[in-house]
Amino acid sequence: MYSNQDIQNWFAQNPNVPVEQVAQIMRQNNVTPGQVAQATGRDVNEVTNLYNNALGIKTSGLASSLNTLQQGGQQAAQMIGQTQGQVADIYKQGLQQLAPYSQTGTQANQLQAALSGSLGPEAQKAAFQNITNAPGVEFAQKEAERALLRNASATGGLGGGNVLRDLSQLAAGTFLQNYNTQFGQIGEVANRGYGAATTGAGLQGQLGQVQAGLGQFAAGIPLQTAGAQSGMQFQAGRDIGSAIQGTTSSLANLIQQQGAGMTDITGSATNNIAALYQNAMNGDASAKEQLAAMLGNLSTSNASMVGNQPIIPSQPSNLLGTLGQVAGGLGGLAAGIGYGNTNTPANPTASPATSSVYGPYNTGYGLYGS
Amino acid sequence: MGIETALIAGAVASGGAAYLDRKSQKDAVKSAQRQKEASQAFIEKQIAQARSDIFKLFPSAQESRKQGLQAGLDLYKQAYPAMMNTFQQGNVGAQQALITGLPQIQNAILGNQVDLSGLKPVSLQQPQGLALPQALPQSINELGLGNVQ
Repeated sequence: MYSNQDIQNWFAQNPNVPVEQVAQIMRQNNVTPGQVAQATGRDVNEVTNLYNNALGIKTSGLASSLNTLQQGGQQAAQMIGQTQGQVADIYKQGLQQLAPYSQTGTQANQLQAALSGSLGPEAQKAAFQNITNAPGVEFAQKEAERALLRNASATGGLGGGNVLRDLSQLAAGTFLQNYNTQFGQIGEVANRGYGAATTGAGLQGQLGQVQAGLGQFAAGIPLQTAGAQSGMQFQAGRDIGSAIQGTTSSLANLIQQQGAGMTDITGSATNNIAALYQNAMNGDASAKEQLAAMLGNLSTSNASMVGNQPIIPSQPSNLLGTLGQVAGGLGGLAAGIGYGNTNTPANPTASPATSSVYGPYNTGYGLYGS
Repeated sequence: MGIETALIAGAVASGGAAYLDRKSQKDAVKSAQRQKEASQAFIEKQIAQARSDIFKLFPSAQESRKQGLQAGLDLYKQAYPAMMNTFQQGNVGAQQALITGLPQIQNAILGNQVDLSGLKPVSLQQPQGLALPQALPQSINELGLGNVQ
C-alpha cells in the first residue's frame, strides 16, 4: 500500500505524465482515485471521473455502482488501516517517551526490594555492596574522613584512639545516612517509574480501545458494502423485472390490439361487402320492378290506344233502305206517271264516323290530319 | 205531261242520288278502316320498338350493376389482404421494437454495454398487389343507346 507521501513523491517526479498513463499506473498499483485525491488535495469526484474516462470505465448501471462501492469499501478499509497505524505510532511514541521512566523505575523498585531484603540476603548484600561502592557514598565518606582528620591534626590528636573511634563512628554514620538517602531516592525513582508505567498502561488501554473501535468500524465496512451491494442487485433485479413486465404488458396490448384491429377490418369489410350485395340486389329488384312497370304501362298504353281507336262502322248495311230509296224513287216515278204520288224521297243519313275522312279518329295529329 | 216528266226525272234523280250516296259512304268506311289499321300498326310498331329498347337496355343496366358490384368486390379482394398486411406490419413492428429494446434496458440497468443500433425508424411497406381502378367500368361509359333505333 502506498502512502500519501509516496503518491506525492511520484507526482513530483513525474509532472507531465498524461492522465491515461497515470490511470494505467494507478490500476496496476491498486491505487484508488480516492487515495490520489487525498494525497493531492483534489476533489475525489473529479479524480474519479478522470480515472474512469481515461480507462473507459462506465459510470452508470449496476456494475459501475458495485465497482464504485467496492472501491469505496477498499478505500475505507485502507484509510482505517492507515489510521490504525497512525494512532498506534502516536501511542508508541508516547510509550517510548515513558519507557525510560518505567525502566528506571523498575530497576529502582528492584534495587529497593533488594536493599529491604525482600529478595534475599544475597541480593541485599549485593545491594549494600553497590551502595558502599557507589561513587557518591565513597566521595561523601572520604570528605567526612578528610574533615575529621583535618580537625584532629589541627588539634594535635591525630594519632590517638579517639580519632580511630571517631573515624569508625563517622564511617557508620555516613553509610547509614547515605543509605537512607539512597533508599529514598531509589524510592522516588521507583515511584516515578510506577507512574510512568501506569500512564503507559493507560495509553495502551486507550490505544486498545481506539484500535478496537477502528477495527469494529472496519469490520462493519464489508458488511455494509455487502448490504449495499445486495440492495443494488435486488433493485436491479426489480428494475429488470419491472422492465420485463412493462414490455410484456405492452406486447400483450399490441397483440390484443392486433386482434381487435383485424377483427374491425374484417367486420368493416364484411359489412361493406354485405352492403354491396344488398345494394346490388335492391338495385336489381328495383330495376326489375321498374321494367315490369314500364312493360305494364306499355301494355296498358297499347291497349288504351287501341281501345281508343274510333269505331268504324261496317259497310253500309241498310241496303234495304237504299233499295227503299230506290224503290221510293221508282214509286215517285210511278206516281209521276200515273198516280201523282208526291212523297219526298228519304234523306239518307250519313254515319258520324264518316263525317270527316280527314279526322276519323280525332287524333288531331298531323300524321292523321290534313 | 210536264208533271209526269218532272216526277219521272225526280224519281230517277232520287234513285241515282241514293246510289251515289251509298257508294261514297262505302268509300269513306274503307278509307277509315285503312287509316285505323295504319294507326294500329303504328302503335304496335312503337310499342314493339319500346319493348325492344327496354329489353335491349335492361341487360345493359343489369350488366352495369353487376360490373359495379364485381369491381367493388374485386377491390375488396385486393384491399382486404393489403389492409391486414399493413396493419400487421405496424403491430408486429411495434412488438419487435419492444422486444429489441428490452435487453438494452437490462444492459443499462446492469451497467453492461448498451447497443441501441436496433432502435431505428421503420417505414412500413406499401401494400403490394393492390391495383386501384383507374377508370370506371366499361359498361357505364357505353350505355348501348347507340343501338336503340
